[in-house]
Amino acid sequence: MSRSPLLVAEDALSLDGLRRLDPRAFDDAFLVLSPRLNGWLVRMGASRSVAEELVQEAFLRLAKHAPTLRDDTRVGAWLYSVTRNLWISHRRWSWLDGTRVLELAEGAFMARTPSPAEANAGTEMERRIHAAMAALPEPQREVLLLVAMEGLEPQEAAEILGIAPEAARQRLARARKNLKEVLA
Amino acid sequence: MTDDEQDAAIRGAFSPIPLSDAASRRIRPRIAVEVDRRRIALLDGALHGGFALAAVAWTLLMVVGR
Repeated sequence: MSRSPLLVAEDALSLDGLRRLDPRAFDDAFLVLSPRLNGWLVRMGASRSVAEELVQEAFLRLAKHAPTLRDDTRVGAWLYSVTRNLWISHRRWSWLDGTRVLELAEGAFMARTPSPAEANAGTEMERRIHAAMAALPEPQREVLLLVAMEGLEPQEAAEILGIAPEAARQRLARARKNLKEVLA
Repeated sequence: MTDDEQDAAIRGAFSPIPLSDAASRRIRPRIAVEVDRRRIALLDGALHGGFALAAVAWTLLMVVGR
């Protein structure tokens, strides 16, 4: 079985450099991981501007916590976990902030609507997958994106999502079943 | 379609989305500044800790030496 895309991306990073607060290590991490985090956020319904803001905040938090990262830390998974928490927190506050409701609505629309590039590019199957994924309930979409797109094990996705491994497996099974039904 | 085939199709359809050039240009220096700020804070802390330790050692030496 081939290695997961996230693991391959993490191979290019220096955990030691990050812990030593080497600016080059942070720049490398940003170049390698920011497109993945940004892509995940946009597919979860974040507007482009919100996604950029949250990706930036995730990396600022990495700078803050890097010296205390353990030897076995997977930086990509760590950043996914932080980014996901930031996204949840952002949405929670959005509901309390009337001025952000429109932004949220824009994001929700974007999650269900392929970008012009995505709509024009790719095969018919890819377009159908975009539409089917956008129609999935959010908890199912997020676990499926982590497992299918990033190649994480359900156990690893569960850690990022802050849920029990069994719950992640159940969500994943439902997501796969729903997607298959839509694509059939 | 098997699970593996479905996952591969999803991977093919959902590639990472790079940040805009403008966002990258704005964010990368901010991260660099934060990394510098963190490094200076840690060095500062170590320096103060070192001074405090030296002061305690010096005081002990003075007391013992008397």
